[in-house]
Amino acid sequence: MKSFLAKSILYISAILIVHIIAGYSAGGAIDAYYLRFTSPPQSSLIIGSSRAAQGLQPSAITAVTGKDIFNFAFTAHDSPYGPIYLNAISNKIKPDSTDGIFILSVSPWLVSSSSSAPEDVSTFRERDGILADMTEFSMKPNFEYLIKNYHHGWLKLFRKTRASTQLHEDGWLEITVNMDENKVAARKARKLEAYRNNSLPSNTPSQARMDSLRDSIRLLQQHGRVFLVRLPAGQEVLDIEASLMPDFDAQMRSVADDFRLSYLDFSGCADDYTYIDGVHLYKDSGSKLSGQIALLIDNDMAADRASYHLCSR
Amino acid sequence: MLFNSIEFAVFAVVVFFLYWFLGRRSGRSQNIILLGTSIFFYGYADLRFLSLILFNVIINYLLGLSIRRCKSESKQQLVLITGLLINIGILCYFKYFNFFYDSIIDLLAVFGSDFAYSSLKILLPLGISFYTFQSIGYLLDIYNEEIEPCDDPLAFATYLTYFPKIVAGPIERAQRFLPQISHARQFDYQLAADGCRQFLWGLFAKVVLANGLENALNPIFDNVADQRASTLLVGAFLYLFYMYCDFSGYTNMALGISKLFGIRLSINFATPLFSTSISDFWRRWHISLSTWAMDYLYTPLTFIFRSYGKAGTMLAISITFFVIGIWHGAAWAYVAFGVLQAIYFIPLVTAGSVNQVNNYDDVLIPSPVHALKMLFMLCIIALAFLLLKTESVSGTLDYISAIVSADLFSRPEKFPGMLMMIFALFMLTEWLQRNREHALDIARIALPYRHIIYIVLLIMVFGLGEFDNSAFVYKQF
Repeated sequence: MKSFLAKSILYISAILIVHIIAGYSAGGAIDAYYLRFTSPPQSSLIIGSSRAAQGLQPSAITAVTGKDIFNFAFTAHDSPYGPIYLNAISNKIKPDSTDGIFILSVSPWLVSSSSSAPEDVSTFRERDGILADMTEFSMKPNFEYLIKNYHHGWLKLFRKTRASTQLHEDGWLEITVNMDENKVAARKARKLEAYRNNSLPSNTPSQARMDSLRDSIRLLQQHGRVFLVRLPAGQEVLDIEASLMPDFDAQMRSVADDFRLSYLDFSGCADDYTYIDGVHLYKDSGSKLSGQIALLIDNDMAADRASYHLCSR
Repeated sequence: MLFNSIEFAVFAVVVFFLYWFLGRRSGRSQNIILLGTSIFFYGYADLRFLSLILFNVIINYLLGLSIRRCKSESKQQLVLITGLLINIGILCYFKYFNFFYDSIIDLLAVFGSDFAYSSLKILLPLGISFYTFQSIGYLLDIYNEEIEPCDDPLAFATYLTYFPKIVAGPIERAQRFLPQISHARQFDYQLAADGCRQFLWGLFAKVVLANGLENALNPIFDNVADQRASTLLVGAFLYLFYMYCDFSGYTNMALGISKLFGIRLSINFATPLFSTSISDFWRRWHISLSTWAMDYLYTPLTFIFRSYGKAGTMLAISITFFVIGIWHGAAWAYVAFGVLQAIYFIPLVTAGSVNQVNNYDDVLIPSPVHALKMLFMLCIIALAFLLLKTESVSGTLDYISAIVSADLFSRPEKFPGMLMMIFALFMLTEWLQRNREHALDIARIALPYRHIIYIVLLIMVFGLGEFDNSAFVYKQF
């Protein structure tokens, strides 16, 4: 028995040591989220889904505003507005910060629920998402994240770059895909099919999510200035969103009025940008849009009133 | 709690220490620990059906004793039939109710009925097919006087709920299992070390090969219409390889874990992908199910139909494979799977070679004829397994018809080259070790080489493995 235990302990220790070493070398190439859980608490954040994660580039915003901002957006599944995302945001903000910028990307999907009880927060889809059972949001290396959410072998932890998906230190998720017209069209067709056949029939606008959006704004306004941003997307997607929530813009304006903040709506100039799949901005367009948003923010920083910026061609 | 999860690693370590340090004084205390931890294991997976498996334990324990206590044959028969009805009834309710219900409604619709209905939401209890078959086998063995009924409720409960086999087998026989837990077990270094080796081989098959193959084949099956015929052909074989790696991986892990507690479970696989005939395949694939079906179905049926000659044999085979097919799941695709297996047997029945054993155990390289037979078997088994993947007869036919097209000989768009190289090495090892209980049965090799092999495998498992918590495929059956 002693010999068996000694050998077992030796092997188990070796396995653990290798994993710990690998954990220390993990970076932005391991997946699309990890670095968002390793950076220190932040003064300024970008909040939202994958559209914001890919489309809003902190470096372009910092270049204009002079403020460091961190992209803390995930996906429509993991980070719609709700108690789980709110908890993650509250853990990610530097507690004593007061002059930050908070860009809250909004869309009908982020204030809708795909459960049969859309007002019951215990049924929200993000319950099984990556944010649901995390307690550490600013730890490097973040072994809690690696144990709960990283399901590959440790060899991939040593990877420093990835051809298609690279998460940057500032939280921006850079996607590199073939932008050949046919490839883009095929991706767009698949995306639209998923929206029409899966997302639209299963989602219902949720007052509980709207309340969480308001709670998020309330929290963030203690730490700086909040901006609501509706990102551009292909017209077909906007049409689907209109059928999900026809009064979405009116509701956002109402939120902006209530909290005296700016609502920047870029849905009217969808054709000014290129998309990888009809929904997510290509990185060049993301850089352009981030700069435009930064300029609007810079002009509006001192204002203590509701304002609307409606992008139109 | 999957065998390849961190939770299970912690659980297994805790059980190991409890079992060998707290329970070492007596077999009874070891059984209490095994029963308690097995109940925890099952409850952790699905608390709702804990009462069902405990009911199964109590009722079959009492029925087993009753069969033996009955004086007359007719009373024994009555108790047996009651037991079979209870076990099969529970299985049918949870697993097949909606299938039969929907089928009857569909049949009525053919005759013009427009009966409005909705299926019941019945959840499938974890491992029900496995422990029900064990219970049925136990009652039949007592009735046939193969075994004495177990008069120790603790041992019987441990037998039915034992955690290494509760989720997906093997379908363990009482006469093999109960004697092993009837006395205090002493720690056996060689057995425990062999258990670790077997577990490691199973873990390698699961996390490196099965999970990797699953990632490779899902894009193919998710979008069949857009794939080249050659890609679909590759997909069909990938699915067969995936099934083998997944199920044999699970089984090796189960057998390996069990050896750590000094208990040997039944061998469930004997290199089935090297089979040279369909009867050979079923002697090597899911052996605990096929021997169960052989002993409790095929043999009695052959006896009943003995006067019909080859037609009787064919009938017995058909019924047996109908049961094996539908054991896998409640859908017509599973019935078709069983029927297809029976059809594969027709040439063997006609030639009178159902029981013929193809012996190539001593050859290093198979003869061209053997190799061709193996290749042919791989093809027809891959074809049949498509039914398990698509879970639809029409889906399978669509898949097959898409394979038969002009671009069958084009280059497949999706082919996991590196993974297939690792799979080839895996199969080579299985071939070379085919006469041993498992491929990593390497106790005879010098110690330094053994450790090199362990380290290489551990690097592959933890370095290349996919630990995405995807369940074992046979868990759903």
